[in-house]
Amino acid sequence: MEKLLNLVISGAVAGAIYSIMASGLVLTYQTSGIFNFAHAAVAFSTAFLFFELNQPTADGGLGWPIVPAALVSILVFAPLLGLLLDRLLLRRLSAAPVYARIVGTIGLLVALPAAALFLVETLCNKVLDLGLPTPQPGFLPPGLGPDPSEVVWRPVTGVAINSDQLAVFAAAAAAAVLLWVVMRRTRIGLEMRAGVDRRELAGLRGVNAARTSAVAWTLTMVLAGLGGVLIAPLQGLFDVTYTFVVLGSLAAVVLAGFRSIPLAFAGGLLLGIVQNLAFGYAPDFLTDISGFLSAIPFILTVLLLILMGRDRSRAAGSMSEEAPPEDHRAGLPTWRRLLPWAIAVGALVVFELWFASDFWAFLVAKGLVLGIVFLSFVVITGIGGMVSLSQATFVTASAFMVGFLVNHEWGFSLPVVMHGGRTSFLVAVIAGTVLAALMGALIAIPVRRLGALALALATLSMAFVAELTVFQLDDVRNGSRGWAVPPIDLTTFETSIPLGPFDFTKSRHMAMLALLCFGVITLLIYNLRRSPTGRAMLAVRSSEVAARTAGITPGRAKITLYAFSAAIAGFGGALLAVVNSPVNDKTTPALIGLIWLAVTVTFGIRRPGGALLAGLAFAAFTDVLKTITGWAFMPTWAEELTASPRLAAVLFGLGAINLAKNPDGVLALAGMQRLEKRRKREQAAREREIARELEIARELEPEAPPVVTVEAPVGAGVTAPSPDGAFGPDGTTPTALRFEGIVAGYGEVRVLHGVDLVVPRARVVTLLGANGAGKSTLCAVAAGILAPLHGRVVLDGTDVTAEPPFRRARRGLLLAPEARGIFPSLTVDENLQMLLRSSDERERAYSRFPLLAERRRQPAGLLSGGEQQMLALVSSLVRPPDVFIGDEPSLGLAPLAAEQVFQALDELRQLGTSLLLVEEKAREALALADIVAVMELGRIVWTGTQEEADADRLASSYLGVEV
Amino acid sequence: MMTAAAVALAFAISGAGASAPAAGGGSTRGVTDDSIKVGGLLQNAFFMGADVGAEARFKIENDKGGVFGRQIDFIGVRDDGGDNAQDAAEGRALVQEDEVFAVVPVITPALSAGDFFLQNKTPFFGWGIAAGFCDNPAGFGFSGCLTPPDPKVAGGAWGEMIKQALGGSARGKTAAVISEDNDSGEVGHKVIAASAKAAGFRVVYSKNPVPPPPAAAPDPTPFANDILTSNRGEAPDVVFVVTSFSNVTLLQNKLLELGYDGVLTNAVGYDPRIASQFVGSSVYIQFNAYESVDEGNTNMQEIIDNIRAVDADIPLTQPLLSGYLSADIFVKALKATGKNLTAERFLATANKMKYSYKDVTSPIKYPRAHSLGGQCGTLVESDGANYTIRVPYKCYKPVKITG
Repeated sequence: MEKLLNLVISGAVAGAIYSIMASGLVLTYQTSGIFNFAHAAVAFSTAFLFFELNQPTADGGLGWPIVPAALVSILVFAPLLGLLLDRLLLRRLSAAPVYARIVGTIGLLVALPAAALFLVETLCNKVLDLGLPTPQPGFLPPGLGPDPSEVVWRPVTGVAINSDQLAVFAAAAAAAVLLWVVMRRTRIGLEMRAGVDRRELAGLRGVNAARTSAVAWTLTMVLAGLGGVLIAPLQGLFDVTYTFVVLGSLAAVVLAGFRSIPLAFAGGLLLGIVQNLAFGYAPDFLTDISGFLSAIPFILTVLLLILMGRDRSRAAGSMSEEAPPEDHRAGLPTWRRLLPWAIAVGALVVFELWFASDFWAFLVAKGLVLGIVFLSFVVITGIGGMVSLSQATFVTASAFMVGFLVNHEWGFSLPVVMHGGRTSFLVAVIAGTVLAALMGALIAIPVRRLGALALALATLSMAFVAELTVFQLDDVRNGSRGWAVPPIDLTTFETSIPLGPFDFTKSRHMAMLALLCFGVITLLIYNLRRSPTGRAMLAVRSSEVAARTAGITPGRAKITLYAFSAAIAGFGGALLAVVNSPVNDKTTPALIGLIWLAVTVTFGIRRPGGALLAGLAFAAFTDVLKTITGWAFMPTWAEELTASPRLAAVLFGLGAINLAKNPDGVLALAGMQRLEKRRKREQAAREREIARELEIARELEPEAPPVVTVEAPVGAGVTAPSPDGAFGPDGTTPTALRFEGIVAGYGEVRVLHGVDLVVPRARVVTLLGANGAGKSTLCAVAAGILAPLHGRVVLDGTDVTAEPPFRRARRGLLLAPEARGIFPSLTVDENLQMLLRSSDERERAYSRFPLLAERRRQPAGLLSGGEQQMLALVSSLVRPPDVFIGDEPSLGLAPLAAEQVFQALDELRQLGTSLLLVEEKAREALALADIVAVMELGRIVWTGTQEEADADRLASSYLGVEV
Repeated sequence: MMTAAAVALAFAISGAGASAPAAGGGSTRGVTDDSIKVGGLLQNAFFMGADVGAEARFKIENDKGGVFGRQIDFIGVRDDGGDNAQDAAEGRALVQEDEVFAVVPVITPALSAGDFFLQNKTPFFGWGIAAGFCDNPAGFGFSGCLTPPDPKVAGGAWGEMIKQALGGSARGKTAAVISEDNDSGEVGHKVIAASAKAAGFRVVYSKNPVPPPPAAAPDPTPFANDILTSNRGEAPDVVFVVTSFSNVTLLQNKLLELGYDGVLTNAVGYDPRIASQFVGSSVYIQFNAYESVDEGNTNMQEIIDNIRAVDADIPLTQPLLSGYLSADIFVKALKATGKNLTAERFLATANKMKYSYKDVTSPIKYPRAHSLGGQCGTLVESDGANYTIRVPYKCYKPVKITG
């Protein structure tokens, strides 16, 4: 019993390490929608800075006492780092597709610690000879507590909690409480959560996304930094250790559903307890499985993800979140596309066979083999849009299989497949490939229903499990020496394939073989893309729901793709076994899969050419740099700088960060410039065309004023509007909202062709028109979601054309968008809080709609359509905006609900709000309108008062023919 | 027509890259009439300073006119970053790019280039802490092969020295041995347990549950408690902590926090830069301690002087000494080979050599040392700032591993 208590208490305290990291991960996800793989990197970098500041001067550090060192690193450096990252990377990423977000933060995970270490080890110490301290093995740096740590609590015999452990626990608990308060009880927390729930709507409701983003990242970075400094004395200051701790805490994150910080805290403690219980009570057979107990956090993560990670997001009715980025080579003939590659490959072949020294020949061969491995990324991520982080596992497994088969003495000999009692290399390669494919399929089966992020995390955790358990087994990895795989010697085949003089013990021939295989696999990939499976996969990637309705089984497509990708990785791994011989479990560890991904993304993950470049770059980068910096005229410090293996990690990580959004990587940058120039030219031509058209329009209709006549309460008459648009044509009626010559569209498609419209103060303008006329586009322009190509939007006399949505919202312009202006994940009450800050106001809202009062704690997404719309409107009834724009407010509602909506709009009008209503339900909208405008194909074709509106005219507009 | 073209192409391809055979019937890469090119391979982060040690040793010979008139051209070391694949790449570069005759010193746990060195007849010398030193006819550790994969014998040194530290008798004394949860840990605890048993201790705990780096166990309490109750509910007299660096510190600290007052011993904590972290433990090192100069060890003094001639401030660490000794054994092998220096002759000579450095490191004999490590050792202790010698340097006999 005592033992149990010991394990539970000590485990709970120790689990605080997991808690603090898990809380940080949840916080980041909650406030930005990004899962920050680089959390460990930030923690490490902050702790590293603290170490440099705090170490005594005798050892080379700055000798600062704990408090100032901690303040600078945790409260200055970490937030600044957060702001920098926010500006450079994260803001761009939060609107990017999921896989780009994953890859971008992985790039950061690769680059940041490498940069910190490069800075100190190479730049400061080697080149500048500053003698800064670097963490020594076995050295546990001090944290925020006394050093050496003291025992502060002995709750029972057998448990001693020291000051460092207590510090972590206290910090984790305090952080959990504080963050819960901030997220759930403060304005900024509400705004952050709203921004993650529905980004655009949050802007429309006055949330400055840039500011909340900056606050969010600052908070998470401070938490990461605090965690980093606190766990250094408990784990040592090594970047890989930090990565393992943070990834180990994933189980707690998953348990918390990626949402709840208190649950993440509790989950971390629970994880610590479970680990301790496992260590304390594991039966012997489990301890005999080498590495099993160490892998427990990752095993738990995998299980929890499979159980809880199903993609439950509402996919139906949503458009694809991912439009493929432009292909800058679109429109070029095939030979034009292939020619540069043919030339480059030809040059490479010539170099390899005749000019390269043995050393460079080997590097090229290695690069080409790696290129084959990287092709697996092209398949799984480039085509499938999934981020798989277990490629290194397939490579290792295949390499082990090859190593085992090629070395094993069978005691008999079959012709063709064996030679001299051992398996022939060809058969071994096939076996390795098949094994990898099977593993890929096996992995894909449980994870195929997971969302993109969960898939990435699950595959990474599985890779760790494999590395810590299966690949540790002596029989699998052949001890520390590993498997020696001799260079391929095809001449020892008994049946000679006519490749007689080729001797693959020479790197050059190996390189040619690799190139050939690369070409074959590339052809296979092209065929895949055009095959039904490939098209199915692209369909699934665009919209899984739509794919299902078309009869495609997403699961099967994913498994096939995964198996194919794994097979490629396995094939590459088999060849890599020759290159890397001898191979053991440390030759291609799980984490290198992340670096591979970063490199491939840098060079282009969508195209096989990118994989080829990536492989060559990864293999030869350091040596190319060494050669360049070794030239006579180069200063010695250049050579010292580039000798560090960390430099490659920094550059490839940065590459991944920058190019996460661009699936063509560096390859695209060259073409991008051309594309940009072309686009600018086209843009200029368009604008000239627009100006011309407007002029012509004006010339053709000199009599008819371009603006609508207004039934003004103070006399009537048609005169020119005041220049600032604040007053209507008669010079005295104030204008709430005015559109002047709006030309707008999406990409190449122009939707609005010069719209002029005035919404007078306290009046209702109803905009009617058929589908596709451009009504919603006009609303988007009004609110600031869409920038017009030409024209002005004037709000209450002020030109707001350049202002972002949140500023217009704060000026009093409220857009109720088409898809219900509510935040589905926030409760009803929280939705109201977005616009009604005081509880009095909210009570008034509840008394106006008692139905909402009953549901005030429910997530708004659970309300019915009508209830949601009322929720969206009721805030305006309590605090009427200046201008209310309703984009199809009755869309999809039952008649009774729609009636309620129009009643509310009428009320709104009586409260003095100016309304612009876009509607298809003409009858009710007409009843409400003061002014009616009819839009057809992006132009206002008719305006008039309600009485003047003619049913026939409207009908022909809708039907497109004369009635 | 086609056949002729194919044949021509084939010849062209197979002809490309053929290297000229060495003149004189032996590989003389890196050897000229007046120089021998040598480069090293290190995990720089953990074994910094080894290159300085080697440099100091080579300088002695160079100042005397070289070995048979050849200066030792030490081009420095390449850093493998502790990464196996990187190690293979750097090793290959040393041979093909730098074109060294031999690789000295080689001090990295990630040694993977050993097979390549062997295939390319490149002798390599270093500290046998990696498996790549074992059973490789081209690899020579100055203390032999320290990590044989399936050992039948263990070094008796550690057990014996602890016995002496406890007054000379292990009768009635108990010992616990703990190592890491991987297969080197699996071998490790068995080997050390055999050593302790041979010295007369009753081994009450011998397991390897500790998660090895980079996996981390946030809490060493379960292991500590298991150890503290392993002697029929009581603590053992000695705990052998046979883990990697960080885990040594974590485990020992936890044992001390929980009130352990027996002997804590490990094999890593001898480093003046972190002496403060290893107070209260006895450290087993495989060679003699620098501090032996206080007892009049002239050979060690000579080594220190030679090092100081090259670098006046460098802290005196194990990597530094191992670099020096790697260079030392290499030089001795060079001298034994004679003026006619080719890789084949050198390897043949080295594989018959005896090496020792009196009062500094274990005497070993090749080729047996390809599968066996040196048997001498010293026991030191830290007082927080400095180390003192607890049990002086001595050589012991190997013991059988039973059960």
